[in-house]
Amino acid sequence: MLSIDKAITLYQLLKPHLPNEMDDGLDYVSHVVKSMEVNPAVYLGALVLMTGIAREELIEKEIDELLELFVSGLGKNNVAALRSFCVSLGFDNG
Amino acid sequence: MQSKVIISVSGKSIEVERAKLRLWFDLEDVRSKLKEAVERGDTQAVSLTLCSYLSAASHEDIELFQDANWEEVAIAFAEITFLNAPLLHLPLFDYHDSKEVDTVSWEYEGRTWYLWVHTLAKAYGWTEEYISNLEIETGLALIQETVVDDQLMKEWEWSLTELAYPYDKGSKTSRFNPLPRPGWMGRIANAPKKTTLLKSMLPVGYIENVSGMGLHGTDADVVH
Repeated sequence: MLSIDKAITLYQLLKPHLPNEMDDGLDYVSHVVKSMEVNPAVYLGALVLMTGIAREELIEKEIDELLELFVSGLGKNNVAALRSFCVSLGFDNG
Repeated sequence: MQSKVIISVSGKSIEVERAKLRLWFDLEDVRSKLKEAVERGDTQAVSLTLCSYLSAASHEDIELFQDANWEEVAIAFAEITFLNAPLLHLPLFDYHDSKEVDTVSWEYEGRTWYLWVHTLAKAYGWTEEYISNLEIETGLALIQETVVDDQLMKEWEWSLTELAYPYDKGSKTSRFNPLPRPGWMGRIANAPKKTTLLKSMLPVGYIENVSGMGLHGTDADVVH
């Protein structure tokens, strides 16, 4: 799991793409992924943060592999809880 | 009142005691810096102030929190802020004036703490060390009591001067003009008086109460 400084940077990157509330984890992840399709730079930036793998190395990987890394990164870093925490600190939520 | 919590960070169990007045003051200062950093969207400053807060409250190195996973930091922050939250709601500290306060020319960094010490030391003759180790609520409540005492004394002295009774040429009389009070000492609005109506004057049939107040002295929302 990410340290606090990286986690807050991740939130700043992902915040426009995080849904307010969603009960189902699968729906949550698919919403985030779909929302990020239009913003590959942010997608890649979030992947660099979550995996610690260099951008150049990530670009070489297959799209499916990147998606797998992204989804597991969202779960491993408990992004839904990260959003709640950052909003509780006073960050805007979108 | 909870006097301590145990937080778990990077596999280490840390006992954190409830802050005394001086440490609480410093922690609140860090919290206001955290708020400012959040408003600026300064990610680095936010994480640094969060870890500074935890480090100051727990007397542990800041690196411990900087290297820990974010969830542990978030949980520790929530537990410690809850532990140190004042249990009293004091108007002096809760009141927020919408008017901007002008900075005075004798202002300096960290003045508020010295103002608190000065207020309590002048009223009770305590040393800074003694004041620093007061319970949060005791310190805050006594500061408010001292400020109230000062204001009431000023009002009494004001009432003895001619300035308090300006002459009105129209009515050819003097009327008492009280010394204005600070906003937090304003009057508390009284609840509206209950009035009773004759049953014959009430509408007939089903009444749905949308006023948020009880009907006929009851808390019922619907009366048949």
